[in-house]
Amino acid sequence: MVNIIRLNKRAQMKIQQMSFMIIAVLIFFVLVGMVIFVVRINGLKKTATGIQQEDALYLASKVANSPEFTCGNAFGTQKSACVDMDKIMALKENINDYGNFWGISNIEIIRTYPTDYNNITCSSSNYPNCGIIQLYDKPISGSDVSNYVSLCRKVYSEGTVKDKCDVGKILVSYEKK
Amino acid sequence: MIKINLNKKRKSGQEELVGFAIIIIIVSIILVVFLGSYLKKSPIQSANSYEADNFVQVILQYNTKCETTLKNLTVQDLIFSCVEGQKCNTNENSCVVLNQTLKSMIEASWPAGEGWPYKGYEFNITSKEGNVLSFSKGNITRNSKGSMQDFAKGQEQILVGFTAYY
Repeated sequence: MVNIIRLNKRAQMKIQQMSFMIIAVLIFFVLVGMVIFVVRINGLKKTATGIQQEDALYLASKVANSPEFTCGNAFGTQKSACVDMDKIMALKENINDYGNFWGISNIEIIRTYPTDYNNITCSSSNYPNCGIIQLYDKPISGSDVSNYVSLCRKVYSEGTVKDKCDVGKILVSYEKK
Repeated sequence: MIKINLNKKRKSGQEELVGFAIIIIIVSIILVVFLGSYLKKSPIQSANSYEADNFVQVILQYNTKCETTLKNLTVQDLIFSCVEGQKCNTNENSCVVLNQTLKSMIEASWPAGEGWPYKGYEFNITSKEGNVLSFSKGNITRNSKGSMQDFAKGQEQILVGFTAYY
């Protein structure tokens, strides 16, 4: 009788041991799964941020390549990422007619090279001896993105008209939705 | 009788140990596979960046101070002029003008070093004959963005490469 009770107890212990083991293994696999899940989610977040940044850069290029900005064939062959400075100055004078045409809060064009006149904001009186064209007369607000563009204009010197392209950036600011 | 009981206990103890070892082996195999696949996915990041692509295009279009009778040569024209060993109207060596222009242009647009977002950069121009021009600044890090662009004039083929490290 005593032996049967002992055997029963031992079997119960064994079952308990096995169930503890199964629970421990299960918890371990759940933890490993959670780690994998967190790593994957982090990867996805990084990819999403990268895509958002690329999209924002495309926005800057989209604006630079729109007919109001682009050089077209005015400077020899068709150039990509090229902004016609003379056009921009004309556009700045009539910017109120465009309203919220591009759906952005401001556009700034900055000459990065050559560095002369770098910090001087352009107006009709000092152009082209200036380095920053702000299309809307209001401060840059919200998020902004920038991309490199050629800043081209026509220069009259020694009786001939020559093309002059500098290095610049187009900075587009927009309100985040 | 006592010996038989002891033998039985030893056997069941050995069986449990074998089971435990098997579980450890399975778990460690799973961990090794997971770590292997995770570490494989993080090599040095060197993306062909849209920003760097644009920058290289823009510098190629820049009008330098090297003049001919018709126009100020662009960097792209100046590269061919340098490869052909020509001089500017001012009698300056086109390779010298090219080197000066590119260095100051990149320095103004991608300032690099301690305290800057970019830790270094590399720039090089190669032709079929070999290296035309190359310079670098700062440190090479694991993360970079860069661009390679090629263009040709007649038989001459030029490859321009720019990489910024951050």
